[in-house]
Amino acid sequence: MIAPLAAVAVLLVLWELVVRVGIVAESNIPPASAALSELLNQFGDGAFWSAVGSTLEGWAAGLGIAIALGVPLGLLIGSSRWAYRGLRVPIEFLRPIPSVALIPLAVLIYGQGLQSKVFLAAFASFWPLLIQTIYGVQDVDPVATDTARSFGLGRLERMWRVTVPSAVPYIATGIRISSAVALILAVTAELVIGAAGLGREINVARSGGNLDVMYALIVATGLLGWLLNLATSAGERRVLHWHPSQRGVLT
Amino acid sequence: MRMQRVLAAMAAAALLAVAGCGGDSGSSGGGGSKGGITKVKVGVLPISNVAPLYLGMKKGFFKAEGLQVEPSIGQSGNELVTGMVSGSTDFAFLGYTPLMSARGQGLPVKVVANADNGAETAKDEWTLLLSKKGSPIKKPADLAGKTIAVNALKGVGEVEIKAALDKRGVDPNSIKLLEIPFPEMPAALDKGRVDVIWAPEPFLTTVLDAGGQAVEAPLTTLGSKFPNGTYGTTEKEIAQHKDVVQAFARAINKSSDYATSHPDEARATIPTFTKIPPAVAKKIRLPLWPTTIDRAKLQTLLGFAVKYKVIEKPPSLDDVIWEGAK
Repeated sequence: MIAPLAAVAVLLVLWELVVRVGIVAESNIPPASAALSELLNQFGDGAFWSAVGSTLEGWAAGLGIAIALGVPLGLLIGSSRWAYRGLRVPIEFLRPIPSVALIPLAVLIYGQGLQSKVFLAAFASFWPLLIQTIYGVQDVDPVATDTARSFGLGRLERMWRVTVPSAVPYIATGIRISSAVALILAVTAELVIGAAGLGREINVARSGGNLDVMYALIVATGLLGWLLNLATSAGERRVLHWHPSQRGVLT
Repeated sequence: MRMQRVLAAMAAAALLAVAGCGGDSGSSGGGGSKGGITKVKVGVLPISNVAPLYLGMKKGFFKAEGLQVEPSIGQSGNELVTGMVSGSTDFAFLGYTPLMSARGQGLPVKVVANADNGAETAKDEWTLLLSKKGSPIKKPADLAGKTIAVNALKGVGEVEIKAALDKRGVDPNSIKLLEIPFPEMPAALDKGRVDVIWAPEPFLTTVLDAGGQAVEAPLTTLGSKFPNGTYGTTEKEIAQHKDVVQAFARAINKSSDYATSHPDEARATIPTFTKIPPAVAKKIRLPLWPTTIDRAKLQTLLGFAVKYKVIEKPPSLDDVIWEGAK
């Protein structure tokens, strides 16, 4: 616990020094102290919290759609050799499309609001989940599957009792990755399209030449990402408390 | 190659299919009317020039016309045009140049009301060509051969700067334009990446406060009170909700008149919709907000835009301006 805090403190001191010493002009970037004290100000501002709420709304809806589509599709594609072979090329084609490149399409179809943001966040976070789920299914121990089969378990039951539990660690990792991706895309959509949220507030501060507020909000997006990562990691531990990767080593 | 094309088509079809599910549930096309109040979404840029809209909302001028304005913040004129055409906004505050350019390309957008104009004289102008403190560039003639930062290439900045230089007898083709967003211009000037920046408020005031020099006011050189921005809408909106468009035009014109006669109240609204630091908002230069559309000067602007190849296909002003506009 001490090491990470020390690292953060060192970074903040470096930021402060770089500006104070004049390596970067204070008119270009505010010192860390100014940005952080402005961040405290923002905590007392209702508009800040409603922006945080809007960002989280886009994150949650985007990630939710990605989970709802990515996990079942991943289970299906992963458990059928035929489907995997057939769909591998389209998946490999669609997956690398940066969501940001779809912004013009999103604006044209969904306009400048929440829907565009959700579409972009869902599109971007869908792929890591899909791929993780497919890998998870393909990594199921064949001995376990064969054992289940020799016990006379049907296709559905094998899926539920063997495939899903052994794919869960992969899915959980997929959700953690996708959560970060969904937040990045939500903020990007706000910055670029102007959908309500922290990203838009950053841009408004930038257009108004208010660097203290701008950097305070940038720090806020970082904090939000960190908190969401803590939350998904904690969720992962809870769901996977039985899994070797989460158990303490016994000697 | 053919395979890729097929895949691309599949990808596009899949995206459109996904898109179709979302449908058109946005508050578009005149918005919903409830209790005699019609919601209208207005695309805006978060800059002080749009103050009359917010002042008018505060004074109830829109409510008196049965309208409830919901501003939607955009980043550029072109994006605001897209927003209107796609139906996600009903109106937009944007420059005449991007609107006329869109119209020239056949997009069905129209001017509903005048928004803001340049100052009467150069000393009050709110977008200036600025050089760094101590720079030898002090007057328009010094600009020949220099590198100038504009927010967008092939935008209104390029038109105004080149036309003004031409008028001053400086070869407009001698300058080099570099694209830098407004907020990053002061830093670019500081570091010497450019010789001169074309900066509006609030950056103009911060640069002048830091010892920067005003070299030229292109807009005033083109003409006193030269038109800059407009409130636009789409032909579809005019055809389907003519009463809403008329009500909006009346309300925004009333707001502009009120802002002109009460500049302090207009200024006081600025920190409510921008994040310009209050101390800066107190002293920035404000545009003029006349309500008449200056057709003669717009024709001049259009001529320059064509001359400097910013607008390829010029529309006729009768196509650009809604017949119900002032």
